[in-house]
Amino acid sequence: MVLSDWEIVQALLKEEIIVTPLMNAKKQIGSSSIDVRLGTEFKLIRTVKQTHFDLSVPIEQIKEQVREYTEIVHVEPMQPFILHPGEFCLGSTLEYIVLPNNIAGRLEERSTWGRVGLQVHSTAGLIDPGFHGTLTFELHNMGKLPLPLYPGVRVAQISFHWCQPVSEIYVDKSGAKYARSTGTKDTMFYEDYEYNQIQKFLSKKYGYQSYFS
Amino acid sequence: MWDRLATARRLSDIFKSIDNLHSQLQFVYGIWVRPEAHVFVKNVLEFIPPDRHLEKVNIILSNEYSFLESDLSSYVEAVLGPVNVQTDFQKSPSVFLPKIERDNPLNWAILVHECGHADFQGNSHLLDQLEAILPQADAPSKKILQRCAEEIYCDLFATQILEPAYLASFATFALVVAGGGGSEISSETHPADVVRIAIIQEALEKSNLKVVLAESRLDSNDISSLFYNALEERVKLERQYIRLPLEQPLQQFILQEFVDVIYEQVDQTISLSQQLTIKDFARIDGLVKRLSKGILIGSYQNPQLIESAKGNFSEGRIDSQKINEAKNAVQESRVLLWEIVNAGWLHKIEHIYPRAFTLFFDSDAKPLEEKIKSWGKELEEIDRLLLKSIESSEIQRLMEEV
Repeated sequence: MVLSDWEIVQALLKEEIIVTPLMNAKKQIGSSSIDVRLGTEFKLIRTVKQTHFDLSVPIEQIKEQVREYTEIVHVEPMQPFILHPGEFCLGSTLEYIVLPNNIAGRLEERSTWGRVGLQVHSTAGLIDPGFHGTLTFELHNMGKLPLPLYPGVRVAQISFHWCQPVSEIYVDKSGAKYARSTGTKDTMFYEDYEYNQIQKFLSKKYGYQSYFS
Repeated sequence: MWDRLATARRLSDIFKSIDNLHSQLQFVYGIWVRPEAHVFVKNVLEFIPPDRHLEKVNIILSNEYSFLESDLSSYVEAVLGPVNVQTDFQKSPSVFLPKIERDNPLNWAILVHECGHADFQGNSHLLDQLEAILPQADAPSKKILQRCAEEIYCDLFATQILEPAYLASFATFALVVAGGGGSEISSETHPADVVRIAIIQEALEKSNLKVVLAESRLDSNDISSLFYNALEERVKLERQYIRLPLEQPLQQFILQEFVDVIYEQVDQTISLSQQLTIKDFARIDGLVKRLSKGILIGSYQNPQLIESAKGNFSEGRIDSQKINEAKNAVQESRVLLWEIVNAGWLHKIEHIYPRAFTLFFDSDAKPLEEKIKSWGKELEEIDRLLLKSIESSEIQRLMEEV
């Protein structure tokens, strides 16, 4: 069940949900959601240095490939970050979010920005119970005009959903790669256990050396 | 006694290694200064009165472990001078930030001292006053005394803005750079570190804020005395002796006469209403608790409003008027950068340092490299939280100003 405005406020008062900074509660808390703002850190996609992610190399080299895939850009407050039509980049919320073990969240676009073609996430909209940290946006300009994105602008909203208390909260999970983040995080797909298996398979079939333990 | 010496020796070894690392800074990959550092310095400049207000102070990442202030235009003038080129450059005050401190806002506290230099040079009134109390000194002594006065001015300037955070930061800095045992030695440009720490402590006492650090949960009941003792032990170990560049009466003169005049001037520059008080530290304690839970501190809720709004929900669903009251209660006010830095230092002193003592001084079998890695991770986490807090505080400031 989705939390209504008064349930959200009650959870905020009890510090069950934390959304900080909550600069303008009246404007940010809607009927069943809280608006979140854009932070100052962006990661642009850079493809000039590589053809693909090569999984047959040690994990440190895969991390390096991922690092080279994006270029970090810090935008000063009140300065715009221009997202051109068709461009994709990563950004993050200004707010730090904490959820309890019985509430999940869902990140959604605000229709104000959706109407000019801004997408804030492509696939990853679910926030697990017990999450701590900033959320990473997958920003995509689907419109026809460049969009000036200023830090502090409300570009997205989070709705909250009751659930039975989970047995293990997100930050305590061994595979919680994006917990306690305070900025825009790159992908960490290489930490998924499947890659261990894939690399073992490749190693067996083609004689690659397996670098995963 | 032997335990104390062994600890001092270990500290001595650690700081020698840090000195060595600092000499390698040129090989550290450095990128541009963080925007949060510019925000930090911009906020410092706003304390300077309008008649000598500085629009901008550049920040330059430095390969050496020293914080400096310099007017870059004077370099250009010096280069162009011999070739007889007309030079009329605008002053371009710049502060140097060691690369290694790029992401560590707690040690940016020293930048506040450096901004004090840029202000001191524009403060002709103070310069005249200092000149007036120096007639009996000879020219070289006068020069030394004026330079020392400038350093004391900058220390007091930084103390009035940052309060205990400056003492914590300066004492740490003194401990690290005193690798050569220079902490008790005055130079021709700087009073001895121990003298400066004493002056900073005195200023904190005047603002009733010395108690903030004395209440820390460290074994020693006063963080500055802990640093002071470590410095003292270090100096003894290195067999360095106190050496003053001035005769003893002149040294006394600095402390007794100069400090009063300078203190008065700093008080006029940074008014009481701009300074943190013991009341603010009640809120800062709340921020420390938040930091220890790993939560941002760029803004805070008013606990009294929260408590009263909780009563609105005693009967479940509520009307729109009460919900608006509750929304007002959960809305967060901006935390000043100086509160963020103080909360950061208190968190470090109360929570992170004790964990470091346990980590490094307990006799578990973990390899040293692993211990260093885990300590580094902890420091990195607090830096990230503080940087993000500075970012959100600044955005809130700009939004509210408009």
